[in-house]
Amino acid sequence: MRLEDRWLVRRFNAGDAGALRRIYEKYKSDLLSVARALLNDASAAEDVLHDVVVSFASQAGRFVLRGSLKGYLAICVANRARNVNRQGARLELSKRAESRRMQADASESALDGERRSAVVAAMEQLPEAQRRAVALHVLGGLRFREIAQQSDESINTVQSRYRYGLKKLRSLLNGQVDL
Amino acid sequence: MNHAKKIRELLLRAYRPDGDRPEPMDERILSDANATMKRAVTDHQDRRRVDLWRRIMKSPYTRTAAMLAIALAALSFLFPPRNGIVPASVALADVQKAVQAKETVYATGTRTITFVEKPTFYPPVMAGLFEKESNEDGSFTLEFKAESFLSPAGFAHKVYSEDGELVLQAGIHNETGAAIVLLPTAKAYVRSQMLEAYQERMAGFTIQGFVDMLYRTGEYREVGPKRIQGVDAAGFEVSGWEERILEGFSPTIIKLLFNLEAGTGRVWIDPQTNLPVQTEGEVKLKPCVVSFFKNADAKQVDDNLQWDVEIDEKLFSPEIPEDYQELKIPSGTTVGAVASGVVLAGAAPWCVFFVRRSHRRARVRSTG
Repeated sequence: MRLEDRWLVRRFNAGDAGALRRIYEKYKSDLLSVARALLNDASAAEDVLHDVVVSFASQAGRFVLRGSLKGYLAICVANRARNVNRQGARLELSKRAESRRMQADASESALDGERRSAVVAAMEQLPEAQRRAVALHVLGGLRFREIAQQSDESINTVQSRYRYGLKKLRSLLNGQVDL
Repeated sequence: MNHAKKIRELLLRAYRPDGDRPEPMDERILSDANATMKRAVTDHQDRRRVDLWRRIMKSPYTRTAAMLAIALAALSFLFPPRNGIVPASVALADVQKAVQAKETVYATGTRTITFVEKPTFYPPVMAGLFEKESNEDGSFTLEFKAESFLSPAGFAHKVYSEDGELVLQAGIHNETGAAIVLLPTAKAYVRSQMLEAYQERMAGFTIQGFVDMLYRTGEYREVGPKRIQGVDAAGFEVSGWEERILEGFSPTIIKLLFNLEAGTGRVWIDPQTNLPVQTEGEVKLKPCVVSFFKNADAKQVDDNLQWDVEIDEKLFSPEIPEDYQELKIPSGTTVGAVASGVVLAGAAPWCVFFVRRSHRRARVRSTG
């Protein structure tokens, strides 16, 4: 995995469009999942993915891979999603409406509408830091150490946030979803 | 399955896209990212080239070599055989005789360099030359006006931009072997002493020797006649001179500095006077220092040749303004030798007319 990523980054730095496509296709699913979980807005998630990929592309020729490529991209997605959330440009109402739309659109996920709505609503109620830790670990597939390194936080902090997040999700979903 | 695993499963099923099927956004994102990546790579390469250039310019050794190469480019690669007396079976002897009867020559003309695309790798002080737009076909052309002065005492050359600004002045004093190149736009100068070997080599150039060289190396043919300046001039064309003109110099350094691919020179002779009335030269350059690392076509035309005019000998030892910075040449280095040699190579076609005469006159003086 790492070896392939290093090769891809080398080709990417040389301006190889094929390498960029491969990187995108390889990690799109994880990155989009993280963005959706942190934004609860399908179009905003796509915008964030777009911005992150284009921003990554702007570093072609001088990009230096430290750690894992997926970890780097996933943290970029999480940071940008946090910025979007903090900007408050989007009205809360429209966010709620979009959230409901996402919840109702069961065809987009492998989960039925009701259970999906419950999961999305529960995630929305998590504090941002906990949601970020849960999204990056579960949906982004990043290890705690990787999240901690990329976020410049201690591994204990990240693990604690994840544990508290999962605990809260469990309490929120208890009774609504068969756990 | 424990609770944590169950929640993780739910999250994955809730947020994961259903499969990795292509979506409309994919092409939009990839298209934007591709365009950005291409720009970034190009910009990065440009920056690296500029950095490379800065590194070159920071090193006294390489800076001198690079600056000399650029400065001398105007002298050398735009100096194909020029008045290079092309052998003509019918007129050669007469042309030689006519030329040797002249003391001095002053010539004006143009130097045109067309790059396949706009160079991006050039010294910062030359940025002004590259501010204008590219041609419609994407190529990029630089045009200069040039003055050349030649007498038995030396050789001088001035190059002006299209706006008439002096961008390069060079002078070589035959007696002392001193070569000075002024770069007014950079407020810099290069002073070099031609190595003895090259001075000897220069002295060895005679018109006959040069003609012999052309006979040996270049295929020549008669062209024209062509109506030039009111006369039906006889033309002679030589090709394949580019290797011979740089013969004896390190091929590696020469290829770095002057990567000549093919050169053609023409001289047009007035049959009434047997003197050249116009010289033309073209040379193809592969990527190298003087072509700013692009493929380029260089062309020179001297269409105003005035013989036996008075030439101020100060031109051969140009005065260096006080505020000019010297680019020093490490003494005894290969680069210095090559640079001097290149000066010589550029000047040689002109000098061949006179060196022999000056030596002859020197002999006459010494015996007198």
